Parts: sequence; structure tokens; C-alpha cells
Amino acid sequence: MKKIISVLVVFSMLICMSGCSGTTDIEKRAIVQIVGIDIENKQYKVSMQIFAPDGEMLEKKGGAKADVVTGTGNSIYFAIKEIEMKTGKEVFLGHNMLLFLGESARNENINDLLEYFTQSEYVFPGLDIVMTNGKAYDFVSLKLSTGLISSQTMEDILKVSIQNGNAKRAQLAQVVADVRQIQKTTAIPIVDITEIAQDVQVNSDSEDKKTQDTKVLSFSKTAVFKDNRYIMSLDKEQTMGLKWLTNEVKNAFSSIDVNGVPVGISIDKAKTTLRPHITGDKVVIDTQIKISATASGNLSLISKNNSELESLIKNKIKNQIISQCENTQNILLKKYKADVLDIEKLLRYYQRSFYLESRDDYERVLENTSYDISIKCDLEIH
Amino acid sequence: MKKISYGQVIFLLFICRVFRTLTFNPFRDTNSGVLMWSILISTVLQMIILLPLFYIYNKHPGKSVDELAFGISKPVGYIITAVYALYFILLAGRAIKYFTYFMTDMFPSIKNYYFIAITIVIVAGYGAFVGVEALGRSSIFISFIFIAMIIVMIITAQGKMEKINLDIAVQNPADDIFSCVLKELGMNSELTTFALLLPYIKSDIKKAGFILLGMKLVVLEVIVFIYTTLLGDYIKLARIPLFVVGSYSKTKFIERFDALYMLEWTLCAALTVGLFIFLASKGIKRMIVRVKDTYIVLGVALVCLGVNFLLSLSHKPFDMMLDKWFTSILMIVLACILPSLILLVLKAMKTKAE
Repeated sequence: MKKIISVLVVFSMLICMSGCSGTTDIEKRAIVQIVGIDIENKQYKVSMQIFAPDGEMLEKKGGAKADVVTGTGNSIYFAIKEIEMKTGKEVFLGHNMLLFLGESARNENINDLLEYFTQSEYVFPGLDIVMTNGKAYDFVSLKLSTGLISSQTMEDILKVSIQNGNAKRAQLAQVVADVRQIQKTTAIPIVDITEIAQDVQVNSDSEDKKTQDTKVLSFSKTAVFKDNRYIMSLDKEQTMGLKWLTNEVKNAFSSIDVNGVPVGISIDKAKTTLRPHITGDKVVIDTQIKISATASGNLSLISKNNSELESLIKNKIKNQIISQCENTQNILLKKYKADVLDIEKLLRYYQRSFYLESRDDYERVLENTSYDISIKCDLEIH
Repeated sequence: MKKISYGQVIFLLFICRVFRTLTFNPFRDTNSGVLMWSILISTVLQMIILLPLFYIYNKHPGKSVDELAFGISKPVGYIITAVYALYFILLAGRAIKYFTYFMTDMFPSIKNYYFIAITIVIVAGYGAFVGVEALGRSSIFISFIFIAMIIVMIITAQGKMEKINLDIAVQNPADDIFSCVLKELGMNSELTTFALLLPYIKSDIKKAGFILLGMKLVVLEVIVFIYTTLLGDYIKLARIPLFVVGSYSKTKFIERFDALYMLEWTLCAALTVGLFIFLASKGIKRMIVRVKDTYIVLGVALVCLGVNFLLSLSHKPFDMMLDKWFTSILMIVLACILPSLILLVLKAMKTKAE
């Protein structure tokens, strides 16, 4: 009898407890891949690119399909609830890789804007945050002739832009950590839609091509926030300076002019080491930048021997980096007194007592901060 | 009586500590510098706390602290046994509460709080019923999964680990560290299990104690280091940091690791609650000899479930007080002061008799 009862209990447990009770079926789940936030008439307008079997084709032929859905509400929560009501599906942000903040959202408190995403344990902490020039909706619903641009393609564009120095990466975890510091400062890349002329095939049978305007994403600026509010944007050179001074350049491409000859410089490896030291009431950050670069171009046009040419190019590269860094320092530390250069973290780690004594007057610390930059460049000439 | 090796003791108690780490965010009111120092200081204190138990193991082999108390007098023995049993019931109730909180809060699709609590009590109760040897064996397996999980997290983390994210500047180090050490001691309440586990340990309790403390020190320091270098101040916002670090991982072959980590969480919970139910049952068995083991385990499991529901009704300030003072002080009393007092009384009685 005991055995029969045990077997019955085990079987009933197998049937009752191994099921997926309380779960949401896949067809009732809206799997979000891109989110955009705009502010319209003091209301939050949330746009989402959601995987949908009967939606529009994504740009990769034969790939997945997606829909763009919008919802409006007096908070992001209510806007998303409206999307859920419209689609009849539960929104799932666990696979969302990209968050666009529209131009209209620039004047909002960045911490408040991100609060919804930091509250949910499902949201990927590495979610990339990007500010848009124009409406975020336009970016979420951006199309190529072949279909909607997928989050993967947008991610790839962002990745390439970060690698080439055009954009600074701003992941959710990093931005939220930044705005918890004294000045509540952070930096977020700004994206634009630009139209370029591209040759496309007229049809698959013929080889005839026609020129067509295609929309592409381009990154060149960086939005700077202080006290959680947008204050200014850094241009491409200043963004590069910011990246040098925060050890974010791993590789980059630029061109320099050597005696009237354009020379392409490819930086294959880079590392910035920063150590602050205190002199009186001044903070000097010893900055060592080590790079391995390759120079290419029509170098035979430059009438110099090899060693002279190498030293000339090296100096040009060094001057370019120093100019980028100085430009960034001047605008961030002297003009806007905004610490997006991680100076607080450096002081907190390397100069603890100075940091604790001076954090109440942090703007003065920034005014009195300077960088002592030295660059070591290994150059290969092609 | 089935005994366990010192290795099994190490992993069994290691899992109990790991479980607390999995369900708690220590960064809400402190920073990484204070926390790292506190873990180190609390490890040294734990070493001191364990010394009387090591002494009992050597001088009175095969006896647990409550059994020794019966040597003073029967009423004292009953009281001491009841105190330990109640303490383990409280710990089991709290562990069930943490687990249900973790499951219902982190996985919104899992909504039935009672279902989770009852299920984990059934599993843990079964573990307690089969005994400490089975729990010990499982703990080795679960510990290895945990270590593997940490390694996978480090390798697959998408963020960049930066040492400048470590917040080591502290305005009032002494105050902050004292408060944090106290809390940290409370989180190591599994050390009190040594008091009742003594007769079950085959050999080398000193080695078990020191390796356990060393292992906990290294693993906890590494976890704090990973948390902060990877997530910076973002960690302060996380309800369960390890879960956030886990969801930061991404690979080409698997999008999110959370579901795999949930398995480890569940195993840790079952083992921890199982050990506490087992020890509480053994204490109660000593008081009511005539009742069958099965019924005692069942009864204790039900009481633990009830304690969990009672604790779930409590408010946050009470929880914090329980964490910081109650469990810390009880841990010191039950793992160190009470065994020392029993030893002193027994020694005095022996001297008087001679």
C-alpha cells in the first residue's frame, strides 16, 4: 500500500509540478529588439521594434520579420502598457540591445528616463544607449530598400563607429553608474540619419544599376549630461579626445597631412594609463598613451629618408592626439566643468584622502585639474 | 550514525554561505572597500569563534554541544537543545523567505509565492530525511556548479572590468567597517551548525574549519571584486547583484544565462534549508525520543514553512534589524559563547567532584 501511495505521489508531482505554470507563451510575448523614447505634448511616446511573424521583413533577405509599435502615456510604464494593450502581448525587454532617446527627450532628467529600465531585472545591463538627432521613432522604424533595419545591423554600425573613434559607448550599467557620481555626469553618443547615394541593381536578372539615395546611420557627436541634464555636445575630435582620456580607444583610423601629402593612419592597438597626483591644490593626471600604428599612402612623394619620415609621422600623430585631448579638456573641465573623464573615479581610487577632503567643492577640483600627456608610438610604414 | 568527511563539511557550509550571497545585495549601504575589509576581518573573527568548537571536538569526541549540555543537567540540556533547534528553524524560515523572494521578484512569470515555498520545503524536507551524508555529497556537486558559474560569468561578461570602479574611499572607516563586520557575521550563521554537526564529522575538523573560512574568504572577495569592477555604482541599484552580473553575460551559443543560474539558486536553497531542518529535527528528536524521525522532520519542515510566512509579513526595518543584530549576535552566542560556557561549567563540575 505504501509503495502504491509513493508511486502515486511521485506521478502526481511529476504532472502537477513540472509544467510551466504561470509562464507566458511565445506567441503572447512581444520580443523587443529596439526601443525609442520621444516626448510629445509632455507625454512619453515609446516606439518598439518587435519580432512579428506577419510583420515587415528585416533588411536581411530571408531573415526575421518585425513590426514597429508605439504607445503613449504620462510615464514610460504607461506607454509600454499601451503597447501591450495594442498588441495583446506581454512586452519582454530581455533581448533589447538598443535604446534610442529622441531629441525631445534631451531636456529630461536622464536618470528618470532610465529608471524604468534599471528597475527590471530582465533588461540587459549592456543595453546600448544612443541619443538621436530628431525623433527616436524615425530611427526605430528606419528602412532600407530591403526592409526595416534590424537591431543587429544598428548594433554593428554602432560597434564600427565606436572602433573608429566616432562614438563613445554608453551602456545602461555604465550610464546609471555615472549619474550616481557627485556631478551626475555622463556622455552618450548622438546618432544622425544621413542620406548617401548608392548604386543598386535594377532587377535580379539584369546587371543594370541605378543610383538611389539610401539612409544610413552616422555617429559623430557625443551628448554630455551634467546634473542629469543635457548641457552640450562634443564634436568628432572632442569625442576622440574623450576616448583617449578614458582609455576607450582600442583601434582607430585617421588621416594626417605630411608636407601636403595625405597619409592614412591606422591605429591597431592603443592603451591609455592614467595616474593622478596632487601638487598643492592642483590635480595633475599623468597620462601615458601607447599606440601601435600603421601609416599608408603615397609616401614616396615625401622627400625624406625613412627615419626622418617615421619621426615626422610620429610627431604628427602625437600632435593630433594631444590636440584632441587638450580640446576636450578645455571644453569639459574649463568651460562646462563637467566630469565625464572619470576623474572622480581616478581620485577615489588613487588619491582617497584628497578626494574625501575636496569632494564638497568638486567644480574647483575640476578647474584645477590638468593632464600631463606623454605618447609612445610604434609606427610601421607601408 | 552516518558520518561525513571534512571535505563534505566544507562544501556543505560553503553552499549555505553562497546561498546568502546569491540572495542579498550588500552594496546598498556600503562600498566595495569597506565590504572587502569587512569580509577579511569577519573571517578572522569567525576563526576565533570556531575555537571552542574545535576544542570540544578534541576533548569530547562524538559529542555535540547540546549533548554536552545534558552533562550539566537534564533541564539545561533540554533548554540548550531547544535554543539550537529554534535557531535553526528561524534560519530555515529565513532561507525559504529569501528563496521565494528571489523567485517571485526576479522571475515575474512565477507568481505563486506559496507554491514556491511549499515546493522548496518538500525538497529540503526530503534532504533532511535522507540525512546529512546525502546533503554532504550533493554539496560537492552544487559547489562545483557554483564555481563554474562564476568562471562563466567572468569569461562571458560584456562589460569591461575596471579597477577604478572599486570605491575604496571611506569617510568613517571604523564605524562603517564595524557595522559591516557585524552584518557579515550574521550572514555566516551556518557556522553555528558546527555545534550540532560535531558528531557527524569523521575527522580533521580544524582542517575543515580553516579550509572553509579560506574558501569563503577567497570566493567572497572575488565576487565583490567582480561585482564592482564590472558594474561600478550600478550594483547599488541591483536587488540581487549576482543575477545582474549573470544577465550581463552574452555568447553566440546562448543569449541569456539567467535560467541556468536559477537552477543553481534552487539547489543551494534546497541544500541550505535541508541542513537547517535536519539539525533542528535532530535537536527535537533528542527532546522527544519516542516520536519517529519521519514525523519530526515533517513537523519541523511545516514549522519552518510557517516561520517563513510569518517573516514574510514583517517589514523591511525588522528584516534589517534581524540581519544586522539578531542573527549576528545569536551566531556569536551559539557558535562561541554558549559552547565556551558549557565547557567552563563542565570543567568546574569536574574540579568540584575531584
